[in-house]
Amino acid sequence: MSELLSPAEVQGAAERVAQLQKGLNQVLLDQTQVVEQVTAAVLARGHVLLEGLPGLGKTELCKALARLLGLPFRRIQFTPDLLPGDITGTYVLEGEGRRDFTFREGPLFANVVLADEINRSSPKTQSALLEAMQERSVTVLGQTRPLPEPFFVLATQNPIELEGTYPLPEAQLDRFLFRVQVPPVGAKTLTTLLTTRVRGTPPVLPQATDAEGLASLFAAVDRVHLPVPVADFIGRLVEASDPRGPGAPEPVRRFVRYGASPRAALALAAAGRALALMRGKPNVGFDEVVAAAPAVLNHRLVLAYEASLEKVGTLDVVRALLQAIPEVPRA
Amino acid sequence: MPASDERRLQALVLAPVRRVRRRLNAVLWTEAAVAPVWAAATGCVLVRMLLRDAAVWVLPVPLLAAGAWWLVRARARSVSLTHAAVLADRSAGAGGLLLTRLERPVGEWELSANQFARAVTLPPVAWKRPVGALLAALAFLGVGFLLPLPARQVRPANAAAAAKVAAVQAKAEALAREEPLGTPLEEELRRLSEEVAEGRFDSADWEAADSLEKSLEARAAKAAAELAAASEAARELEASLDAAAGAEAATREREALEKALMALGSDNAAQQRQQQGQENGNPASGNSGGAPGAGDGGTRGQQAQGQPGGSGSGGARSRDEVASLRETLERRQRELEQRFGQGNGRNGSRQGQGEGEGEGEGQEGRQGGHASRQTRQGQGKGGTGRGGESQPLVFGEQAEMDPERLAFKPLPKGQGGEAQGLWGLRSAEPQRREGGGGGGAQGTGAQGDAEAGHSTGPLLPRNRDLVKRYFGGEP
Repeated sequence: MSELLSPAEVQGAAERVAQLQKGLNQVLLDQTQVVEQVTAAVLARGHVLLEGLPGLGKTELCKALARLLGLPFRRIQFTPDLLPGDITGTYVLEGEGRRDFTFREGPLFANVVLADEINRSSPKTQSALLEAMQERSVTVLGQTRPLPEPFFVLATQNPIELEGTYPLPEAQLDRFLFRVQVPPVGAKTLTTLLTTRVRGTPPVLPQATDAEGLASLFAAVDRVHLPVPVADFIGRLVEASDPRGPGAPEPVRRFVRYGASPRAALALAAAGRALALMRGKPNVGFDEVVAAAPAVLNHRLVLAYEASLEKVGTLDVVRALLQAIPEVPRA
Repeated sequence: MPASDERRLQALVLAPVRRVRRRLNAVLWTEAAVAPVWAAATGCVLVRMLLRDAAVWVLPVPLLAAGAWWLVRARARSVSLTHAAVLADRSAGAGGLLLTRLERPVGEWELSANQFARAVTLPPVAWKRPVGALLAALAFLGVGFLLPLPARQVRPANAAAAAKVAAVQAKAEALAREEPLGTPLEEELRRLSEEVAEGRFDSADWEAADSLEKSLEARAAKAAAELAAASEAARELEASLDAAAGAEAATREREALEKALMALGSDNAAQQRQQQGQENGNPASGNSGGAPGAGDGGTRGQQAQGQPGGSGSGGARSRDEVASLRETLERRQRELEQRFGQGNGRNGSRQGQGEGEGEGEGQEGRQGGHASRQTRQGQGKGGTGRGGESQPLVFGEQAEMDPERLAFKPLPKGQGGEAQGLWGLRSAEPQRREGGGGGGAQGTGAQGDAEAGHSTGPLLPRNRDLVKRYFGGEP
């Protein structure tokens, strides 16, 4: 059992995270919740799927995050003719005289990868991300190459333009820690945007941390204690998301076809730890789990046909789930 | 964990958590006790009402059962220490630090944990409702034990059933003097008496009592018939003895007269022989010859008179014994008749026999009271001739009926009214008719005026429709 974080360690980590969040908030105006979730996903070493209408600043957010972290950044524009080798890399014939096949690394070989409009590529290309996101490695012609640490995939997806797109398979979705809904901004935010930026160009941000600092943050997150009652709450929450589970509430049994996987429980614990550290706590509380649950379970619940008939979304089901499952089991 | 840390944990963190747990458990156990206490209170009150004085020995049963039930419910609802810790953590706003402290040392966070532990507040609990329910149950128990019990309800005696059983028992006792009743009948009588005593005399028992009474009456009728036959035999024997005694006395008188005449004749001859002897000079032979003859004759006469006298005294004793026996038989018969009342077979038998003797007709009571329908009353000298054979009834000289069909039997409902209607047919007074006996008087029927029975008499108008409906045709 590792030593519990000291107050000083927690405070130092929280200050660095706050600096990171401050920079992101300067880029993405009036989207504090989105920024918090993206930051928590980074601290939890998870991948984020940003979903929202065009022009909301999703791509700028990813670019700003890479700049703030001081990590190499690659952007992949997913198109229908994109091939797996285009993103993982491939062998090319190089040299003069005796020519050899040399492996050319693809854009995945970066610390921060922006998969822009990921649903526009074919499922074959989307599947090329599975190993990279889960194993953080790429296998080409039988040779596995590790990706650089840390490795983040920030994908964007347009929920309204469905023609010519390929919905992400469930296995692909499950590999994202969060699916963050980017809401539209209000008039006040737009006024600020118009008055402070020239042609919408975001301000140049100073680097908030580096790879070493980020690694220390990761270590601090791992030392955040997860109490047994909170872990039990996470377990019951994920179990209840399965409509065939014993504790499934009525909305889940009615509207959900498939529940969350054990990977969801791991994601909830990791997100809870990250959120706890961001909030200056050495341990995870129920509030962190409740705060992370919508973004974690949002894309892991497969709704039934009745949900679309009654216009019930996954967030509605998750909210009902959180209300139905008590923090401590009733005797 | 060092001892000092453990003590701090116990004093600072566990103490408020346990307070929370005790408070929650108190309320939950109170709630768990509501149903058992109400059940126990109800059971105790019911036991007191039903068992009264014996309730003291039964009261522990519902109390123990309620206690066991309460323990089971309370254990199932008990709040765990983890549950209380979570509630304490939430109430103090510790954000999981108290939970962490319960699992592991928190190091520099100890001060914060202690501050959170001191900030723990007892959770609000809804104690009024369960406590109110418990108080209501206790009040119900108190009222149930303080209210006076109503007087014991005496089960109303079934007077009709008791009278019925008593009547059957009286008949059985009367019959038991004549013949043994038998074990099954005695058992049935005992069972009926118990049913009456316990107030469980139902329709089946009524039927059993009726059938038992009928069987007793049948056996009584048979016994009375046997007694009547014996009495008759005794009477005839007495008459025979009287007749025999009269004939023997006449014979003895005639013999005595003859002997006296003979003795008188021999005396005259002796006197003549004595006179002749005196005249012939041999008077001694005459005296000697005459004296023995007279002596023998007197001895035999005495003997002859004595023998009939001896047999006469013996015949008187026989007559007395026979008369006594007959009187005894008649007395027992009367007792049996008095016990079993009118209308039974024995009474009908005697009535029919009496009518046969006095009126020249009778059917040996086979029809009981209905025997009058074939009676041809003969005024004047009644013979002992029985009535003739059973003749079929003729209604209006059109229909012939088997007498058995006129046995008492209620008509079906809606086909002739109540049974009393048909009974009225029997109870009509026969009309007197001048002339000879009817067809029923055969053999040695008495001569003289006879009254026609219903078989030949006109049918009463009030019975015409009844008989018509009964036979489905013209009366």
